[in-house]
Amino acid sequence: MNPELLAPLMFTTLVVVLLAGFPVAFSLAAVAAAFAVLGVALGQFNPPFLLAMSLRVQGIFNSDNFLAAPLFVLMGLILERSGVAEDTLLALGRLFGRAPGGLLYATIIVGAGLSAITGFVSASVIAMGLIALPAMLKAGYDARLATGSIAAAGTLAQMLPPSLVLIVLAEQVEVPLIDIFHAVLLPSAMLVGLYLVFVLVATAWLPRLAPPISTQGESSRMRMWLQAASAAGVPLGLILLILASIYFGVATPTEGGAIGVCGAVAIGAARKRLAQGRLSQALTNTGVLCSSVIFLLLGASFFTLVFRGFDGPVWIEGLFSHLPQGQLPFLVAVTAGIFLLGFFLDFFEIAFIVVPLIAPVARKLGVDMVWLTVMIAVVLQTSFMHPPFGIALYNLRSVAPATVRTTQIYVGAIPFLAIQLLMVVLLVVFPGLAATDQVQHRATQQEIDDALRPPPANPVPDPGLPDFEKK
Amino acid sequence: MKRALLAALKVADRVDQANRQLAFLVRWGLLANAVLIAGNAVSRKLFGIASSSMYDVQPHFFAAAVLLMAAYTLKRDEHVRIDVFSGLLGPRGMAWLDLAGLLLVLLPLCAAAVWVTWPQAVASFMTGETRASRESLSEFPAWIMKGMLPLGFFSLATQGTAEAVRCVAFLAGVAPRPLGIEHPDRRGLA
Repeated sequence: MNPELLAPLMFTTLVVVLLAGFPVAFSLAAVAAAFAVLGVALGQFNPPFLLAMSLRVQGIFNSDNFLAAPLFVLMGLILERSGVAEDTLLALGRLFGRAPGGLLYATIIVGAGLSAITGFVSASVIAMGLIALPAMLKAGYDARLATGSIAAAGTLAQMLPPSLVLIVLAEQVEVPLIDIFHAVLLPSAMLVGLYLVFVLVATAWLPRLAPPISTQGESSRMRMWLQAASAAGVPLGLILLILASIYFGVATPTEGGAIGVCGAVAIGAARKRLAQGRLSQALTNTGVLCSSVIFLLLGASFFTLVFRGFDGPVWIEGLFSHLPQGQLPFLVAVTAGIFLLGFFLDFFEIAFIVVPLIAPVARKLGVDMVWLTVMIAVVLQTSFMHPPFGIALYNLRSVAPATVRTTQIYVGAIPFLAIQLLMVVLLVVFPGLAATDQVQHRATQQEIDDALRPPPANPVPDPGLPDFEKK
Repeated sequence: MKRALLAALKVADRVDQANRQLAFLVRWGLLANAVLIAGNAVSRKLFGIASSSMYDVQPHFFAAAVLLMAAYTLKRDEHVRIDVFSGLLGPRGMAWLDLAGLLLVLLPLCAAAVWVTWPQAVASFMTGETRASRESLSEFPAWIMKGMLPLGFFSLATQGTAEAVRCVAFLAGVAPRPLGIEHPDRRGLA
């Protein structure tokens, strides 16, 4: 058998096995194991190569970035489970409710905050769908506008720091997490701003889409402000405080997440909202999520390792060499590909399987990896709310009352999709929106090998470590 | 045949229970870890005290949650699947698919993982290896983390066996197959 065929064959097998529907983490590892055995039998694979896996496992469990992930997820789930997020939304809704579209502003702000923390599209869309959608429909809001803003705010989980998504991507493209946070802040703030401006324009133009809620007289106004300040100000303040301390380097992301959890527990406890298993549910769900994500990563790492053993990256690079020279055709192909994959795969599958395949090619072309990460995040966000396959629209459909038609959910997403598209164009035309200050250079093959090698997180001397260069 | 399957199902329920209790124990580690990390951060910033052993404990809670909750995650059917086509299979098709996957993929993988990681954990315990490294003077023993790997894969294998028994029982018409019965609610997850 021609040894050069093994990498494409391995990749094709993976696609077939994954489509069968058995959990991805185990399928990835099984395909890798089967091909490693096959490769050894054919004399095409160097078994000591596999020893690098043990370093990779240690690297994952000792990584500061992954240590931060469960903390933010836990913080978000505590805020959601304990009803603190709901209180925040209702308080803001009362505050803004008298303006046309007031609940929409509240939805976008609270949705963005919740998304930023949980970093998980489905979680925030479902939560906002259950909390905000009934309130808006009851107030006579147009279903299209209501569902569209929930889908947009919920998918911001892809973008807003300290999102789990960004943590995972930073780890995958091997750039410092804090650089990504810095780069993504402006684009994501612009997205939130554009959503709010759209709501402002739409409701000013057609106020009947989101009629103001009549509230009690002026006398209670002061009390309403006070209520809103305590119900909404405290959790939103906590989120902003943590973001700011990470952004300005006062705390590492891990420390910020830990303090956020303590803060969320304190708020929940002060409001007596942690009993009846709410806290333990948040803990269970966090653990289950982390377990499934890290197992997926373990499986994907094993796959990537064996794939490299068969010179898979060379094959992938060969595929891209059919494109015209330069960065632009590469970027167009990658973003279009990721956009389409977003219809069928969830974020973690893309981050763990696809991103490691394209990252070395991007490095060689001298693409700014931080900018590319932000781009991937925006493109996936767009993909996740694009009809008819977008996961956010599915999630929203599953929690929306039957009176909301599916086509309304689809149509509602369109203006926000236009905003996303505008953002993509802006990022391409003004890369400075999300770039690092570092000078980009084209990585050499040696540097890529070094970068791909598992980091010596716990450099216990491993006598059996293979010599990669000799292979 | 039917009696044997019913007996096996009872054992499967025991396995569920054991793995659930394990998961419900280690989940509190996530909260403990948050308190520990916040405490470490405060003591370092405010008092300039940093204990490298205390920092070294941090990854253990995370590793425990990931590795020791994997079985419970399998029970809840929360390991990510690509369900583009499997939705067309129907319950019997799904049971066949899962049975094949459990027997051909999951159990051999767990066996291999335990086989590889167990001797490393034992060796680490015997030699009293610490987690000291170039950056850290930690005296924290290394076998705890290394021991979680075989333990996690072993518990995953027990859960995989339990699920396989359920698939067989369902296909034999002995018992229904309550896929993901343990979701008191799935909100917050997908």
